[in-house]
Amino acid sequence: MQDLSLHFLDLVRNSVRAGATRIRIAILAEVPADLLTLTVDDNGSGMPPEHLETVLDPFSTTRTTRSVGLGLSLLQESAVRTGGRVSIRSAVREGTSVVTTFGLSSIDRPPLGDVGDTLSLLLVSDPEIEYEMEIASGGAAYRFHTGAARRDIPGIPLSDPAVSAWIRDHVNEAVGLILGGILDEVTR
Amino acid sequence: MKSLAELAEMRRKAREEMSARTSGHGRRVVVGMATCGIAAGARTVMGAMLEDLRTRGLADIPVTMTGCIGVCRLEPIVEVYEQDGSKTTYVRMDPAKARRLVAEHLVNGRVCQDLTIGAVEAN
Repeated sequence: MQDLSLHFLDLVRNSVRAGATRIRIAILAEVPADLLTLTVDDNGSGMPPEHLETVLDPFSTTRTTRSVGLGLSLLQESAVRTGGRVSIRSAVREGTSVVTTFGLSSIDRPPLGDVGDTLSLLLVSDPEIEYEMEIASGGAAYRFHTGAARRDIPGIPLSDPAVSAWIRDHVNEAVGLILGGILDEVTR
Repeated sequence: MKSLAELAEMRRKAREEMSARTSGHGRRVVVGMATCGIAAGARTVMGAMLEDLRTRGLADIPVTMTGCIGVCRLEPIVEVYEQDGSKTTYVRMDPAKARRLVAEHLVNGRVCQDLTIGAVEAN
């Protein structure tokens, strides 16, 4: 994966396939601790403990179309290279939470990428899912709730082309405001 | 910072545009968006298609993501379903090919034979 927004897309697609109807995506930058934390929480089907044990193994997958599951192992490799890690909590019928940490200033950390594009395309594909996106650093925080957006534009799906383009730009503007200058690759 | 008020204003505009849209002949588009597709560039392929559909006012053609289709080495993969359920599978897509697909297949109803799985696998 070239950037973190693609890892996000991959993680959220796992949540969607697990039947999630609410998904929370968070990006937290902590300069003093030199940490960048990405979180994806969902209310999907969850995993039993025996599957959780093998989920980071590239040769483990529940799918039937191919016998390898690379997504989480690629994410783990990418995190470990920067001194970070992936931790997964999951409970059957409750949901799954994947928290990934990266060394914020590590030269091996992949760039953040186009987070707005990831969220807007997810909404185009499955407009009925509720998303909560949080971007925070220091004292600054941004929150986007699809529920609130839906209330503001009753009758128009979030997959509407003009609306999804607006959401993409809105999220990316927040990324610039909050993470600009904190992540090297993000300009204000 | 863009505001939600702006989004509310867009609601009015979107409503007007919605009524002006032409029919997509009941077609729908599916993009493989599992790890294999994403790593091969499926997100930019989907983005390019949506951008073109938006410009052409064909936004009523649904474009959705799906999981792994099973031929990871041919990703990014785009499938076009006709109203009668028949399907064309396009493989090794990129943004330029995706725009061609929109113009030739979705707008004019002509399959881009050279981009289909049959043609690519034969080479």
